[in-house]
Amino acid sequence: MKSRLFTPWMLTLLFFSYNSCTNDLSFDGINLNVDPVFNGPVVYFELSQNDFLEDDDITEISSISDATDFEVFKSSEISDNTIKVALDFQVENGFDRAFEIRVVLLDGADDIIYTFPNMEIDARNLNFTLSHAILIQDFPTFVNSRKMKVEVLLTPSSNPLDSLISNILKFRSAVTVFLSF
Amino acid sequence: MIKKSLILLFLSVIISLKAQQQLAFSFVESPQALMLNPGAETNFSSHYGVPILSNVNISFGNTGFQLGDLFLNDSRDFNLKFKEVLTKIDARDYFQTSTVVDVINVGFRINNKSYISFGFYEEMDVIFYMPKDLLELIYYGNEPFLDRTFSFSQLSMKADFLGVFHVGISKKINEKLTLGARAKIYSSGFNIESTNNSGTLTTYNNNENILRQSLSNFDVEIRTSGVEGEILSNTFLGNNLGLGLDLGLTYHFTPQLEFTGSILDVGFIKHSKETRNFSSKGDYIFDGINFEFPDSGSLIDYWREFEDDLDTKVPRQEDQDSYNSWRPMKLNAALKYSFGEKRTKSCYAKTHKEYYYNSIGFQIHTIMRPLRPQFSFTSFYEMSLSKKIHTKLTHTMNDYSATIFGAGLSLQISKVNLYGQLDNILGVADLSSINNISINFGMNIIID
Repeated sequence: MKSRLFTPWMLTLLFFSYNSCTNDLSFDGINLNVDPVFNGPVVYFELSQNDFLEDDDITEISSISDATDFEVFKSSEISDNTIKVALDFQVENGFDRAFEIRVVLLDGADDIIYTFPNMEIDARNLNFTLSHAILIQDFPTFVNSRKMKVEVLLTPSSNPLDSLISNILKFRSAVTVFLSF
Repeated sequence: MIKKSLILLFLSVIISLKAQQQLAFSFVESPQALMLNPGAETNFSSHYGVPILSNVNISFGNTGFQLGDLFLNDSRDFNLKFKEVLTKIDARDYFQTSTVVDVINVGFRINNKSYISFGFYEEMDVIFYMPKDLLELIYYGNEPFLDRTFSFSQLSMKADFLGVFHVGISKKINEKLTLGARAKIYSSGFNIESTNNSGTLTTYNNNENILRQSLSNFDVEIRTSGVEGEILSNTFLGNNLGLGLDLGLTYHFTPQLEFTGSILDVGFIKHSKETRNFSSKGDYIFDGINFEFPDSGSLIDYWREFEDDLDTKVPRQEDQDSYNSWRPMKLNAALKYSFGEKRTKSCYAKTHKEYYYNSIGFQIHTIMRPLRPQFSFTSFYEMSLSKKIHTKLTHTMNDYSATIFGAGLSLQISKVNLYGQLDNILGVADLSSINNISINFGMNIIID
């Protein structure tokens, strides 16, 4: 019977039972950095020559604008942890006229929070791009933005718009938000 | 005919199953074996489990990575290890933990052929599949993954805490066959489950705007019950009840060759009170805000239009509807060949049973899980060191590992039966390299 009690299996079991070891593991210094980067579409539009002509089809409209609210930064989880925001703009100008596009961000009281560099698009420039990044530490009020306003200005020219000649101005934009938790 | 049926049953069990091991199965010297096989043979006239301590079973397991991958005490940065683990896992990997504590367990023989057992146990069971796509989306964001489809179907989990009242009978049909059954009343403390989800989220370039985000075939539901209630008291015939059945058998092909099989927890719980369910379903394509430049003086609330459109096309719903939750059915089967020194032991009513000091065999265990069954295959060697000391050594292959070694011990000290089983004994020595560990112990008073 003794030989049964002290079989190698039993010794193995006892060895492992009494040598339980957690020394190789450490749960100290666990500091997980979560730094996701999200992107998505923002504002887009297409304008034709008729958008810059009054009803008489002769008088030019020098400037049009539109705006939208956005509530992304209303969430404190996002506003408190955003470290950088980058916007990409693409413009295709099919007109024989130059344009200037101004993009500003406003707060809830419609006060300007941030003005992006003006985009001056030459006539027939089909590949205008602008990338612009904002470091939040440099502009901490940026996360108070609640509204984006886009103004399109038709640059004066001796070459008047013709309502019968179809032209298109395409504007596209995307945002990339860098977060750090 | 019975042999053929049994072989067919055994083969079908082998083919259809997937799972984790339960060492106690077919380890008949413990009355707790009846809980894993109501058709287990019993050689005692009654047993009384020590309340709370008659059977405690705790198991933990995860696939895809080991503790050491994240927490090894070295100089490497934790974030680097986390990224490596995130790369390593896939959507079939899971975390699982379960605990069973027998509160009351009593059994007695009503005649030479029949043994009745009954009691109440508390059970917690959690399985959470790793939704790799969503974890990477949260950790990295969508920006590094243009054109990648993030799948919501990987989101699958189930968590239960319940009490189970049960009564079972083991009946010896003849010298070769013993059959058994156990009826159960489930009483849910809480349940959280989210299964059968679908949908994808993709960001890609598009002509309309620089980026387009597409939510396709989105259908996600989370069902809960009892989460905000009195969880523990609800496990004692509380608000949400269910019914279940266990079936089992033992069959001796020869005095030395024995087959045991069982099917456990064929049942469900109807959650009708304290339920709170969340769901969302639909498709959506987002190109951004399309400025229309209305005439001066008029304004378009684009953001409100976007939110309303999203709510219409992908409505979110919260309700308190009833739902049924199926219990995770388990299948066990074992084939055991006994050999070596032949002994006789006294049993109930002055009967005697012949037994052998050694046996070898294999067993399979499968548990049905939300995504797919979990399967394990165990080969074992049982050895009786004396009439009162029985041991079992096992080697298991399952989802976690192919090298899991376990050991079990059953001691009879006077009328007190003590047993303990540990699976993955190598893992105890090196926790950093294990994927699973299972501990089972208990104390019962056995009257021969």
